[in-house]
Amino acid sequence: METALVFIIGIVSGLFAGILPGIGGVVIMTIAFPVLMTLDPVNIIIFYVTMASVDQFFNGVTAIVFGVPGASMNIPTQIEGHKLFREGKGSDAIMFSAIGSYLASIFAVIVIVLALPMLWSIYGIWTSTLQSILLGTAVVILIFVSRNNILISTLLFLVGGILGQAGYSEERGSSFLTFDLDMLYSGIPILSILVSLFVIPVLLGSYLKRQGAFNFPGVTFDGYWNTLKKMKKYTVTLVRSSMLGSIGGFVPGMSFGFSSLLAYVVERWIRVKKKVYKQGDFHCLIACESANNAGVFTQLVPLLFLGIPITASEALIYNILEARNLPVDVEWFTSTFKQVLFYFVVSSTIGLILAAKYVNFLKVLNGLNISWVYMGIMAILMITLWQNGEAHYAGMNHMIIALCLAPVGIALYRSDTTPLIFGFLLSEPLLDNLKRILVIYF
Amino acid sequence: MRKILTVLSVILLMTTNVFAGTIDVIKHSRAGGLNDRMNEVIANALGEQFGEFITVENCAQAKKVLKATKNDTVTAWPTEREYGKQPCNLNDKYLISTFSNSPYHITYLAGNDQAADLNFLKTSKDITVGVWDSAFWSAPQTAFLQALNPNIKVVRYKSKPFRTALPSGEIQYKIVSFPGNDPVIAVLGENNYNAITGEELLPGHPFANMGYSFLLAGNVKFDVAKIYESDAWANKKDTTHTPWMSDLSRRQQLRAIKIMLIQIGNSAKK
Repeated sequence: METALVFIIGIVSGLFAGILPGIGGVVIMTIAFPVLMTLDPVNIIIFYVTMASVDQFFNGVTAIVFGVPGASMNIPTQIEGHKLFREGKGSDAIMFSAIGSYLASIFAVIVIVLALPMLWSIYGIWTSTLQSILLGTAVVILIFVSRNNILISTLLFLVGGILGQAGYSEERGSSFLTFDLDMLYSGIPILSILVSLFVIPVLLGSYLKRQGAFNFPGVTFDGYWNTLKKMKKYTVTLVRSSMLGSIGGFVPGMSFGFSSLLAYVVERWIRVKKKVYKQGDFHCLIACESANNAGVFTQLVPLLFLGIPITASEALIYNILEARNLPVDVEWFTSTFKQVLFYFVVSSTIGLILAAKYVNFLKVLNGLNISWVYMGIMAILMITLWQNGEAHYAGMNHMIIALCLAPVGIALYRSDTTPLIFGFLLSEPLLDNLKRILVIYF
Repeated sequence: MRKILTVLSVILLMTTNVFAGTIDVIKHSRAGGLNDRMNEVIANALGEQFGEFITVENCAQAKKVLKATKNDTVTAWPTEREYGKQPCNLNDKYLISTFSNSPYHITYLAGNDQAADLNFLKTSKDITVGVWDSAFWSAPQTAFLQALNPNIKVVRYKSKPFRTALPSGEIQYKIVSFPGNDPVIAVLGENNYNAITGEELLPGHPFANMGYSFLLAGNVKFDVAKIYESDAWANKKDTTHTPWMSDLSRRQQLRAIKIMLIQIGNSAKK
């Protein structure tokens, strides 16, 4: 009974986490923390896996339909998917990304079952050098495949990197770009950056290029079935991206967010090389979405089998288990694995169906002038921004930071600001890795 | 007589209010991290006296809350924040007492027979040790390690890459306050692992006894013994954290902290 209830609450939580930008797994886990403390340990894991898998389906839909990435890992989905949506191919975009995500989830399960005996050997090669090579490769490809010229993209990446370093670092014992303002001590919040320097330019650019009414034909189960049949054409993309996502999921420091970006830039690079890439590319959309979903499952493996939490949400789970003196060992985890696996597959299936229901509900907006829809999105984003910040008594601070950055976003509406966003996100791990390599090898 | 009774009544009333009121706990660091866990322990130890968690983004905001809130509030506060002039320095009046301390443990990967040999740590020419990414703590740790073996390279790690640093083989040892399941080869202080101590390795070295510690900060008079006597403290995950300087008066504690911080801070300047 408890498991069934936890499962349902997990699905509802995943739905909210997916629809509302900035409400990620950590926020949900923090809210649910007191309740989780009282649950059976297997149910804690089931809650998390259910929430995370459903979250992924809804995140993708919000990015495609409204042009709002629910989290940084959905930025590529937004770039390709929202473009398709504005071209009237929204239904196809949603169905391809949903079916691709679902197949990737199954792929990840198979990969993990096969790879279990070799897990430790994978960690055995996960050195700072390899991490730097992967990060560096992603950055270089990202700059080369951006819509901007290389110089502008490099500049945007560097600006993003500088913004990413802002804040007071307790580790360094020093401040950077805080101007003695308390609101900047924690650095620039990711949601403020995403809203002002990514969503605003994209929505503005999209609106100025194509005005008119919001039009979304919805999705059908027949459509899903036909999409599944058409998926054969994308097999190579799907396998390559699912593999990257699966690896990213169980490697600390890489995360499936980064592997999703890596899968995307690799796919886009291949498409550019073949001279067939145009923004709104189904291959690229499937690549990032499938990498995302594959990683959602594989990220559980280090926690389940090695007792290594690799995300903040998992660290919370790990702490609950240990605080209650519950066994955090391979034997216990092995005994729970089958159950967790079952609920992951079931919740992924439910996520797939629910996401379809959710997008069809959005047809109520059909006929509305797109400018009203975008204004509505911006209003919701500002409220979300404030609410997210307010959870840490910093709602007004986050709003002020977003408003200060907004003019820059507006000025950049003709540019592809993806390099700036990823400069912001990747500068820290990149610099951190390079510093370690310098000490180790020089 | 009436005056005395009135004063006694007021005192009684005030004292009763203090004990009847709830105490909030500030959380000011990464969810799931050591600091976060310590604040969970405090909240659980308070039992029915616990009010609510006030979750803020950073230590500067936590400091603001402490100054502004009218509710009784406490929090676990990393000792190094009181060193020098930093945005998170607290006024001494907010430092209730010292709280907990865990000696630094030198650990290695289970199954690494080479690293399990103490002589390897002391004499190897090619050896790398991972430490937590802290400018403050890495300096004395480096000083100690390089006094033990000048060939040791010390690399600073953030939390996620630190978890796979040992299995990847790019480091042979790591220094942590809580060793988890990793085997321990030496401890910079007393320990239950039967491991060699820092003092035995390098007698008289200024950092032979060194650990990660917390103060108890807040705007209320609070007896830290209440936490030590609780089930939450007895059952906490970080078993190597023990009561810190609890036999000293508050004044002596603050003095000892200042001396310790200056000594460690000076090593960072070198």
